[in-house]
Amino acid sequence: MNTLLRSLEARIILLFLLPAFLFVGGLFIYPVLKVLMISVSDPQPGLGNYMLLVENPALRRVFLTTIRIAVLTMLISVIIGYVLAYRMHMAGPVELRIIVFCLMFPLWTSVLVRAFSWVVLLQNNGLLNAWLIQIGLLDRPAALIRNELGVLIGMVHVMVPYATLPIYSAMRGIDPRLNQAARSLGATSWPAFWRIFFPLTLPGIGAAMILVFIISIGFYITPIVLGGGKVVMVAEYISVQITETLRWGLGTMLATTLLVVVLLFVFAFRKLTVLRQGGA
Amino acid sequence: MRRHLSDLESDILELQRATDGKTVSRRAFTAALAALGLSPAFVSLTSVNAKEPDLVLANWGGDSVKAMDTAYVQPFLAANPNESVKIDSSGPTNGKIKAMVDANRVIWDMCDRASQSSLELGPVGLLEEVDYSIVDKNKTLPGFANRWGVGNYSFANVLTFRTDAFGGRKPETWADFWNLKDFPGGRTLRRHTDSTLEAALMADGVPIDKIYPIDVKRAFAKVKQIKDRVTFWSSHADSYKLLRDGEATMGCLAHTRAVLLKRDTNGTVDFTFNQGIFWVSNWIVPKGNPGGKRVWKLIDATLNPESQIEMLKQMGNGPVNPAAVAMIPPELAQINPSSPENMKRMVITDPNWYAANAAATLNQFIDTVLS
Amino acid sequence: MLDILHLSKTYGSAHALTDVSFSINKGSFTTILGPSGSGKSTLLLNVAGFVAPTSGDIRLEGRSLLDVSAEKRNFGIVFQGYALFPHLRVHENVAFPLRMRGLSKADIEKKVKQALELVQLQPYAERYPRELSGGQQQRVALARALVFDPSLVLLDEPLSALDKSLRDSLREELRHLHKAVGMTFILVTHDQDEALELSDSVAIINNGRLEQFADPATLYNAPASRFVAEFLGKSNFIPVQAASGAPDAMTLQAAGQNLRHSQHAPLPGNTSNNRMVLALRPERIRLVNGHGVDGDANVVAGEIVDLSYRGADIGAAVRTDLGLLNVRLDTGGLHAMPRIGERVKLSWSASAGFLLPDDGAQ
Repeated sequence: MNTLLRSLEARIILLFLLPAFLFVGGLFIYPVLKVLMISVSDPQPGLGNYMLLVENPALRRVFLTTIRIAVLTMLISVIIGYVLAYRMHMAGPVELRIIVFCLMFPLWTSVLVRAFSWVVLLQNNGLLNAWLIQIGLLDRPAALIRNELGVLIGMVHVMVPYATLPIYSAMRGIDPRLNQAARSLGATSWPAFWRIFFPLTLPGIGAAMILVFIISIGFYITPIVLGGGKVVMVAEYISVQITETLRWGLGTMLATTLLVVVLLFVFAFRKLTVLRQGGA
Repeated sequence: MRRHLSDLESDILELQRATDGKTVSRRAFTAALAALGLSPAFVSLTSVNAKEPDLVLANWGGDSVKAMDTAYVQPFLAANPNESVKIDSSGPTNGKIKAMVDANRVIWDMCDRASQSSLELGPVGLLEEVDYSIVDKNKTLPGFANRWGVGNYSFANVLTFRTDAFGGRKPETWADFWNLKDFPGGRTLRRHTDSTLEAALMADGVPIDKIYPIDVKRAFAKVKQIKDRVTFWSSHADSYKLLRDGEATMGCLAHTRAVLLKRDTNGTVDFTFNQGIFWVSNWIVPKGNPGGKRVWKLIDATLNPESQIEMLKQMGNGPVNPAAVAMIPPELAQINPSSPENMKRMVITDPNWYAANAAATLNQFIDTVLS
Repeated sequence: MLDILHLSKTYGSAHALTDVSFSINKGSFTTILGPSGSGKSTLLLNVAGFVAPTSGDIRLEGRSLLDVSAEKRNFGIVFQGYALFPHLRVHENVAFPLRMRGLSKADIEKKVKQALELVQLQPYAERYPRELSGGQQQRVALARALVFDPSLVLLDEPLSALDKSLRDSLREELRHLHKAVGMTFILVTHDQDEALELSDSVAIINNGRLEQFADPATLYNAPASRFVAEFLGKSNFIPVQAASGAPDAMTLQAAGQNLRHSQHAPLPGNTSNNRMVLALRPERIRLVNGHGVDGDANVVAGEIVDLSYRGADIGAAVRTDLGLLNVRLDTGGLHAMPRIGERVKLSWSASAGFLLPDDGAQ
């Protein structure tokens, strides 16, 4: 009787979970499998597309550019995010609200608008260069966009909120008495920060790094607008293969590889942070 | 600042279309679903009704929506009151066409597409063959009506330059474009092989009638020579702005933009059709288009001289119907790429070469030139 | 010797502390006792150096601490909730203050070992705080606060997070520890039993003011205010309309009756005004049956309205003309079990109670 009831209960639970399975399966797993399928079947079955990664130095270069930019964006965003989060942590309620607003407001603006706004600000006769020349810091405009620097500026701008919020959340989770404890035990502000506060924010830093890296590696519009046409990241390269050259096998192979890179990164990073946290 | 902001707006509109990602129209969404092999029944439910489906004309948005409506659609509807036509401006890329045809969910009847697409997509079974019993082949320039595509309008990529940058000298050729010493300043080229390769070969001394087949290696090497000084533009608005703001002193721009620049800057920016690269855009019809045979009548109507000249007035795009070319008023003939005196100075692009080589060449271009 | 001198702290218009003064002897165990919100935590924060007083001074061995930052005061603090560093192992937690003081590796190792032995946690040195029970965490916090030979040990509600039986045994341990190390301990708590049991002296804080600073016996037997009498143990308060006579032979008028009263300690406050109460501990009232009453004892009649049996004693609530009086009856001295509704006589000696100004505390 009991087992019968239990199996019935299990079935009902499964029934209630079914929509979730269908949702994830239909909108996530199925398309991913489909992409994987195309990558090993177009133009002919086999791993030919994946061999291109080894054979074609140009593909490796696109990947390296992408990873380099993503890693740089990640590092810069997390450093800026850390400083901002720390400021938020120390701020009074009014200042906190102002910072949160400034941080969240760009998230409601499209990436495209933000990229073009940087063009307005940073181009040769843009506001920043004009000002720098006016105050005599430069005698000719500095090349701030239409290169990798421009892409980095644009991407960091987009990514800073994603870096700040997990770190801020980690900081908020730290018992404020730990700082008092450290000071009462003889630690001046720097050791108290470095030995106590900072290690406790590491999980937040890890989360921020994963988040920023994953989003950065798929950037598409910002590099096109701010890269001057000379910074090609994987997402755009994939888009060219899918929409223009119709090399879907190549495009899906790159998409699959991108997914694997992201998963490896997440896996490695989790392992690292777990080790740092003493196996919790 | 105001100027910058209006640029911003047009850039955004254009890039949203070009990147086809961020503004998700229902059709784009359907296309995306089709690409994933997901074609939910509800998509087709919306078009289930008693009367014939609308004919859908797919183009690249912007001013061309209104222009095509005025020049092509309205005259057609006036002559055929029972028809209805819609314009979808989400951009008919090869990829979307393939996705739709593969998934058997075609939502476009006719697509405004670069001429080589008919020869890329046609042979692999993605396009309907043109029904020349309805479409009058004589209404297009010779050589621009093939099995899967028929010429629609012409345009050119032309040498555009600032008259205030070179001490009164005017660049005339692509060799001048490559000459950074006598013609200082930044350059801008299209972020694509189309036209860029032709310009590079002309700069390297190849005459306009010996461009094809393109010596890709030679063209790439030539582009690389000045690559560091080149901004590669992705949107027409971007190319316009680079020239107008002087960030580039010379560029390879669509002639329609060059005309606008010349007008907007009171001649500070000028252009020449000399060594221009002449293109003809095509109508292509995806295999299994919802409107079926009805579409050919509309395509034929777009080639009528009145419609062709209206298109020139609206967009600056040149007629392909020789009868229309003859009717062009003289002040428009100057800026019309298909006028004989302009056309003879330009490279007439070869869609066959592009159909055979575009995919590989574009990847090589991105691989070796851009990055 | 730690002197707290006229210490005041205001936050805006709120007075957290008002003119608090008392002195703590070196090596003593002093408790700062008060209900929550009384200002005792503010007092602790001032002593620890996390908060600067608005006025007044704190002096250690005669030297003002106000210009000494928290990290330089050399006070060992056991925080409420312990504030152990969660990412450091037990021995690293205990070593932390020593590392901050730049001790050699060997010294650190030796002192950490001693400190962990003191609190009997040597086997747990390699654990992380979250792998320890609450009581063990509390002892790590103690070891960490003691290991660097602080000039003062501050304990902020160190036992409040523990369950009752553990609390009792740790209270015992704390007392032994204090004797063993011989340092000055200052305990902040709201638990009066803890205060009475552990302390040499207790400072009772209420509404930001020092109510009384004395040893536990004095506090219990000679409370300085109705608040103290009420906060430490139970008391009956009999409103007194008038008092006359010499302190050792007074006559009090309460509810129309004359009560005898004598008080050796000086009468606190101003007894000439009319608002006074007689504080009477329940255990000082006896149940009498008309005989065995001393000559100077007071006797009132009443009716038992409630009884609570507690083993060694019985609590009885008796309604009298003076109001409801709580009486603690020693089971050993009873002739028969009292019953609810029974009419009884209550008696207490003239020196049993305390005359206090009625400050309206409840």
